[in-house]
Amino acid sequence: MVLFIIRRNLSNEEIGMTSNLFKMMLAVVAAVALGFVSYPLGEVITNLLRKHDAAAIARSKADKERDHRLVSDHTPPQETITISDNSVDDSSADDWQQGFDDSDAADTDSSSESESSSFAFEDGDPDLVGITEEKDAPEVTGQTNVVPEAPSTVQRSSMATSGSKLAALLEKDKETEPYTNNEFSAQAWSSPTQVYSVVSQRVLNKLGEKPTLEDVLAFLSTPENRRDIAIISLCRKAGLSELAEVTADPMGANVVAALSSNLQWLTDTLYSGPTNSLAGGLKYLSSICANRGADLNDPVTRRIAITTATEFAREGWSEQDMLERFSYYDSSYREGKLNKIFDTLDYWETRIVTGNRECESWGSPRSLAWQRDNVRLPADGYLNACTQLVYRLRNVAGDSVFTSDYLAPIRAATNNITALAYREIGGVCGACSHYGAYGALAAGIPAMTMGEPGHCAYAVRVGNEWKMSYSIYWQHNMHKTFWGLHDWEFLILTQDLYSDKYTTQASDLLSDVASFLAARRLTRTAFNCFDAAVQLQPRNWPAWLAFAGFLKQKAPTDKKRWVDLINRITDTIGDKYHNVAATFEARYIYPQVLPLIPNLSERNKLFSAFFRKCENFGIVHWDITPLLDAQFEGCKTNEDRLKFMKSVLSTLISKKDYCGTALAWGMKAVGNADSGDQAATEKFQQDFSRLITSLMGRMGSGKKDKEATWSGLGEAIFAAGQNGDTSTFQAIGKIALNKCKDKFPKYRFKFRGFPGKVVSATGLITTAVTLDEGGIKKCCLHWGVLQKNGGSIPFKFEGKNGINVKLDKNSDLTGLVALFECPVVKDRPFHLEVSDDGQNWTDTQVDPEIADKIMRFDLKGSDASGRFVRLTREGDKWENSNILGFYVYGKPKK
Amino acid sequence: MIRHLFLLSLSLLLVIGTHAQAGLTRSYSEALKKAGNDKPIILFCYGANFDQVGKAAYDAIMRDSDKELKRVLNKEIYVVIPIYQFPNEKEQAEFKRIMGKHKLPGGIWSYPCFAIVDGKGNFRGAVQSAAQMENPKIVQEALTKLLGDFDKQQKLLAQASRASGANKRRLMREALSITSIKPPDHEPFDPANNGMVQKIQLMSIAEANRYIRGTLAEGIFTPVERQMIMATYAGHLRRNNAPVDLLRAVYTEMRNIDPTSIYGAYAEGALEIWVDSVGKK
Repeated sequence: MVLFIIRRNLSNEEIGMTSNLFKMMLAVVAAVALGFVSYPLGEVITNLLRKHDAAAIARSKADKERDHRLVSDHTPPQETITISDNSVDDSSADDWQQGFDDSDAADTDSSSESESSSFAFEDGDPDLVGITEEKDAPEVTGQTNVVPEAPSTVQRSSMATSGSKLAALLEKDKETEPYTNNEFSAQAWSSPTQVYSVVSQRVLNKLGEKPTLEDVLAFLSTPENRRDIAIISLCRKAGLSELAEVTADPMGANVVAALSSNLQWLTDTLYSGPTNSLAGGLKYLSSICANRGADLNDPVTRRIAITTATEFAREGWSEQDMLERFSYYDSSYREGKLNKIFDTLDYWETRIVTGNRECESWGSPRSLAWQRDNVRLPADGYLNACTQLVYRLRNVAGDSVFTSDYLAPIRAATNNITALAYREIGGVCGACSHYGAYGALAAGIPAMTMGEPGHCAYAVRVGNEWKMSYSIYWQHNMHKTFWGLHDWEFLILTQDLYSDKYTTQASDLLSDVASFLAARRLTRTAFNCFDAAVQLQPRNWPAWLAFAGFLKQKAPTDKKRWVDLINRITDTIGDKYHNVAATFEARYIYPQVLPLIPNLSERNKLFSAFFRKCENFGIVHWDITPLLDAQFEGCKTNEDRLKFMKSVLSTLISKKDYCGTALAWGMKAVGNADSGDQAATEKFQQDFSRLITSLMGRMGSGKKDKEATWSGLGEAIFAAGQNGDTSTFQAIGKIALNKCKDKFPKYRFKFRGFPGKVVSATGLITTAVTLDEGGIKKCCLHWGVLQKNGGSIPFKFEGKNGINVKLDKNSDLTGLVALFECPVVKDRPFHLEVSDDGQNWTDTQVDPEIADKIMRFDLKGSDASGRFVRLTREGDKWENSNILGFYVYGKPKK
Repeated sequence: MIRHLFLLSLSLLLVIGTHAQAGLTRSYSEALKKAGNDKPIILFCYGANFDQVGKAAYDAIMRDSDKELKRVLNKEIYVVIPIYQFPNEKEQAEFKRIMGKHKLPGGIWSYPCFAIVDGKGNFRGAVQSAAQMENPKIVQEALTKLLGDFDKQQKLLAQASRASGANKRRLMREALSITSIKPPDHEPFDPANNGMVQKIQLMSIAEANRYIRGTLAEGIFTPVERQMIMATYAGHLRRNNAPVDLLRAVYTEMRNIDPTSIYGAYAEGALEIWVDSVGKK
């Protein structure tokens, strides 16, 4: 009957949720009816875990498969903890109602509260927000801004001091016996809802009706209270219904009971990185106990088990692989085969090790074991381990590394050990980098591979410092991340965040309390706790996300709050981690705040504050373009766009680290601009072209500025080349010659030309070579290649990829002269092709005359014409040289 | 008589002197001096402060005084090199005392290991895989064989340096056929990186055969290099749908050069997946 009434008033989705809750309610009632009791069972649990009879309590095969599917399909989004009025029996109904009833909004302005009684605040889970961005944030109807005034600077300073005291207390407590409490047995955990109810009510009672931040900090000073908060977080992060699934299994219940009885165990599980799919992680943990007989009382086994389980669940990897990975590290440790570094790794660091990707079997137990035993080096030795492989794009049989034939004949002989197979046969950057990184991982040292444009490199942590190896480019896409953000700076942030262990734990606790209080509509205290959490530990990315999620819900249109948040991010985290701050602002704050600031000058002021922090790249070269894109996105008219460009480029052009990227970004943004009105778009592009030429003209050419100007123009001309923007390419080339004359060669080539004019001199030249950072900075020399005195452009001929020239106009061609830096080896035929559109090519069928370093194609009688010319070569042999001059002769068509 | 006694005394002194030269040597520089042109130097490198396996190997080999292995070592010039992770000042000083300005030779892939270098510091070979380092007995066997191979190769190289023409080539080939020892001045031949793989792509089967046979006849290659050249040829045949019998013959020839090498195994695998399976498909 109750269910029927509920169904009448709810949507389908709500009905589904309520049905689940109804089932949960029945379970709770049943538990109460069966005589639910809480009694200390710690020792019993411990013994159970130790002497567990696997056969008696192991799940059936079908159950395991189901669990496996649950995790493999990637655990469903964390369920909002929502309790209906009917969810528990009378004795506990009040507890729940108090938490979610409007009447509980004790410290908020109740007159402004208009949310429905079914309102529930989703955690603003950092992982969820971090990965799925804000679109997944819960929508609340009738939102009103109920957030209190932001604390003053003095108040914040005081908050930080109080927070630091908590951090100091946590550090001091580590020396005492870990706090244990066997209040909740495995049986009790058969109903996580009931446990949650008991603990949350206790916390609320202790905090009082209108708790202040000081009350919260005082509350957190005792371990029993911290343990209560951790239990609440466990329930909220795992989700009550998912947790109930875990504890429905006897081993699962034992594991959760054991975890919840020990504050240290809870802390290690909850505050050592992201907690996505926490319930899946707990399932995996119970599987390790059931199938591998792991003794969680052993600190290293526990560390390996918890980190492997949480990481595999988080990544959605299979249970079988997880069990094998656990066994590998556990047995390797027991046999004393891991590097000493592993012995003292913290949980978050161990997650990087045990949670390494399988990746073409590099992470398989047999490949790891082989590397562990055959590539035993001190930590910094792994930075050079990549050189143990011979670099071969094609193996000696001529098979490409990108085909299965490459390793096929030795798969059996090498016992399918990936690392061994590549060491014997060789490989390219991917194999070399995996070999280096997985060598370290196999020994228990944190490491990871990282993608770079057209390349793979890797990083190894040596001491407390991450070091790159085999890197050729400034862009690094880390292959293991905590928050789905792959830039190098986020790795450094992660390292710095968790190295500051106790401050981070204190900050995490405050953030968790804030989330809990927000769910209870204690908005004012929740706000203060979030504020204190990020004030105490500004590197706490998940706490910032949770805070922003909270503000989005509670103060979506409160411009003052959002501007304050931007300024705080800029002033605190932005001080050192420019990219992190830029990412946060661009992704999570601008979409919220820019619509609230229609005035462009006001916005530009805000943007300028950020750029003032960034005199240089900071930690590492980073990509400023997503930030500029987000700022540009807010401009609605071409006039606004131009004003924005002028403002931002004027600022950035004087910063040597950023000017090149900013110019290149500007050109790309303008190239992409299309207002629908062709005339307006063209005018905008012309205006921008004038702006950019004028700005570049202002770049310094003095001795001090010349290097920055040269590399800035190099990046800009590279972008123009990529865009196929001939006029900008030419304009930048001329500016470069004017400002950095001594950077250009003054060759006096001697060769026979062809009739007509050099039509390529006003064109654009590109190469198939993937340019590294140094190569891009010298890109103005590409322009020089088309000019009389020459320049330099690296070449690579692979199939249809070679040297391309886009002429200013479609032309009738009479010949081509290419001047090489080194004598031309005639081991592969050259082809000269022409095209009108750059897509459909015609081979001129003319063979070149090659004399030492000079190549000539006489096109007389070939009827060759077109706007595009390309020089290609058969085969794909690696050649490392440059072209110094490239001259296409002909007559432009009218 | 006096003359004979004098000669005998001199011989005894020389023998004693030679023995004094052998055994544990304090520094790498000293070992290089002692080794001269012909003698090998054994470098026992082990992880001293980061690796239980390395420590166990050190204890088993150096402290427990495994007699057989110790006997082998004492007959040679050997240096014990502790490898430190994040060395402190004392450890850095110790490493510097042993290595001086020298760097560890290239070719060491893992610790603990026994690397063999010649008097010029060239890396010539190593006992370093987990299987070879399993226990002192296995180490001793592997090391003894390696030292024997080193002597054999040194002698052949010395003879070759004095010979000329076809005889020199024969001696060089013989020296290079000792696969466990890396010859000092031999530039490794890699068909994948020196253009052979690309070059053969443009050839007909007959041209490729002539080219490969000519290259093998003219050059001086190690057995593995010869197998690699055969692999290049076989790969070209395979991609150009050469008759299965020809492919079988080439892979068999390649395997038989040295069935124990990785390219011997490669040929065996190729026979299985690309030749023998053809009729079965």
